[in-house]
Amino acid sequence: MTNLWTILNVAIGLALTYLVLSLVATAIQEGIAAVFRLRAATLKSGLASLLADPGSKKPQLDPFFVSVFGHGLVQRISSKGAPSYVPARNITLALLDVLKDGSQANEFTAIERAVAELPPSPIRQSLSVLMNEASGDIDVLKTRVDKWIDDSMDRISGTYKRNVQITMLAVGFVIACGFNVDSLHVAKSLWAPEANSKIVQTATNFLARHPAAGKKNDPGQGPVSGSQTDQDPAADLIAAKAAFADALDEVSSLPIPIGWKDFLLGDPKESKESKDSKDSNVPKDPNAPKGFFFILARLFEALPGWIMTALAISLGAPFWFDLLQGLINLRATGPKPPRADSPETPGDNKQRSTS
Amino acid sequence: MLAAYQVDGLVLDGTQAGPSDAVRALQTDLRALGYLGRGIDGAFGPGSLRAVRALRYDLINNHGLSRSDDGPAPVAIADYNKGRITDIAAGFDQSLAACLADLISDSKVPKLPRSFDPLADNRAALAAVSSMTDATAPFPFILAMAVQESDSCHYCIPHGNDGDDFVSIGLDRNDKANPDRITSRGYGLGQYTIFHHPPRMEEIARFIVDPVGNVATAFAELRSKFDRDVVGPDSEADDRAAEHPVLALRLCRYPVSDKRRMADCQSCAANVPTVTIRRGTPLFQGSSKSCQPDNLYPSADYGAVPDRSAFLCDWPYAARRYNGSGLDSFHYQIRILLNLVRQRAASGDAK
Repeated sequence: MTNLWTILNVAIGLALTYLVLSLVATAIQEGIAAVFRLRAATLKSGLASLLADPGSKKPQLDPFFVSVFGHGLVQRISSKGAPSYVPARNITLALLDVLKDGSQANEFTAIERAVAELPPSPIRQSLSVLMNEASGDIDVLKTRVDKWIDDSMDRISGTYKRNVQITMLAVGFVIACGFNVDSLHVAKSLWAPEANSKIVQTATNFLARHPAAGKKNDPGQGPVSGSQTDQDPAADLIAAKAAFADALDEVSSLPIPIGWKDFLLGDPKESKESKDSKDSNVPKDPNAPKGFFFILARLFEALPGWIMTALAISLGAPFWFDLLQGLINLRATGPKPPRADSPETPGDNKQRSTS
Repeated sequence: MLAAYQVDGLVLDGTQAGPSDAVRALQTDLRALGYLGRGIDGAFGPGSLRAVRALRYDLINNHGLSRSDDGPAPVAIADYNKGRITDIAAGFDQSLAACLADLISDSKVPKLPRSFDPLADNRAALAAVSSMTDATAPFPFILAMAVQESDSCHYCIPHGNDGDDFVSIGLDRNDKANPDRITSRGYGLGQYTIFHHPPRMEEIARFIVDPVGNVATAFAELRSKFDRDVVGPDSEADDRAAEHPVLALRLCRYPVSDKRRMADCQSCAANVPTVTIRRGTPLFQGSSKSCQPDNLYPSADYGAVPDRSAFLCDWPYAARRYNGSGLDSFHYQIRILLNLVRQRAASGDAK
């Protein structure tokens, strides 16, 4: 009889696989982000679309945007090149300072005059509304502009996260094909009693070694923020390389069938059945020459599994980390594997586990 | 019966020395008819001469029409000339004495009121203003304007030789071609201004005799300036347009439920940043005109003036429009804002 716990173990095995592969994908994605300075680019284009006159052909050369973006409060934080993180408050202050432009009039009036002189544009419209809400009070105006910039930065982060997800999906597909990680095949292999009994321990060990794998590996952290610090892209790249090497080690130690070695054997069970029933059109020896159509057929067979793997990877490490932890916890409340020797497990769990 | 100044051969042109009862009687009648600004001391000086010339102008030219849209006068002063006055520039003579006596003795010609106890009447008037719960306009601005307009006096207070106890009056002479001509007159505490002369009986009763009525009229007038002449629709205040080109009209920073609403202006004035205004300071940023002394305001140096642009309401702009739109109105605005701060200091001392 199929034990419910076997199913749970299969789920744990899959979650572990996806988590480890997500870590690889995250490292690659971070590498790409570092090389192409994606955060900085997203931040710049996001701010340009917020501040520049939409009529201008090159928003990033819009004089108003350039003066705010080039303001010391925005640029100073970055060690070199364009900033990839800027606290919203700094953007507010830079924006108001650019508007004020050294005028001797009282602050609000100076800003108001500058806003009135802006060409008709969404930024002028937004600031006019905020100024009217503030009704002449500079402190209220600063709070309102802060909030507005915050919201806009959230949108920029959202854009960045969407882009990251698309990248992750692409990277995930490359990994799935590259390592030949066919979800269906992996799941089947995890049904085998030997793999099934070992996988929980492997997962527990992994979590013990990487207690924060899901936390610091969120590739979706956008170019915003109060707490984040702006890092040198070169440092980002080094970190991404280290994470990549780490994650690769983990992949190779996974007790699951990935890689191309046995690809042409197809599913172990299926090949056995076919061997029994038909005359062998499936070669037993992987080194034996294969027909083109056979290879094509295998590729089509593996494709759904690869796609599933790619989609799973695109969900990201934090998702799989949380899920894996949840499954392990669920497992802990159930029957212990025979060799489990955890003294911290409450005794009543053990009693119930016999059911 | 002849008036005291109807004396054969009595001619006054400002060169005579010493006070006389005849001159005192003449000044009293000129004051009652709204030609003399203030001062009944029996000495015929330049002020009295200007009053006489203003009357001569009216005897020739005033046909009872308004220079604005506030309706006609009840009588035409020119009807009392009867061919006796042909020359504005002359001084006081017996032809003018005869016209003046005719005007005074005709009950159809309204006379300005006077008070038996100006001190008490003025106190009562100010108390009435402070207790006005009218939300039409902020009363501290009205009080600050009353100081500027009439030194907070609805009735003049006699002192020394000066026996003037008539309702206070402000005379505007804005006709450059006829410098002695009085073009409009402001009456009482709030110097509510009308552009026809003499005022109608109904007007005298409504806001010239009664200080509360006078102030209520000032409230309504100030509110009308606020509603129509700060950001439109009738006209736009140029200082407001330069300093708050984006903001919609702001009535008060406090919500309706707050008891400081339209009442705590003195605190607002004391808490905004101040500016220093000197001769030559532009009237507002970008203005081609600057603050300069003139006949009415001999000094153009003001220190620690509350910055009108830093108020969270538009009453400082409305206060200026109450006075018009020229250079003088900027002096006026500065003084109103300074008065607000002084009044706060005074009330703080009282506590």
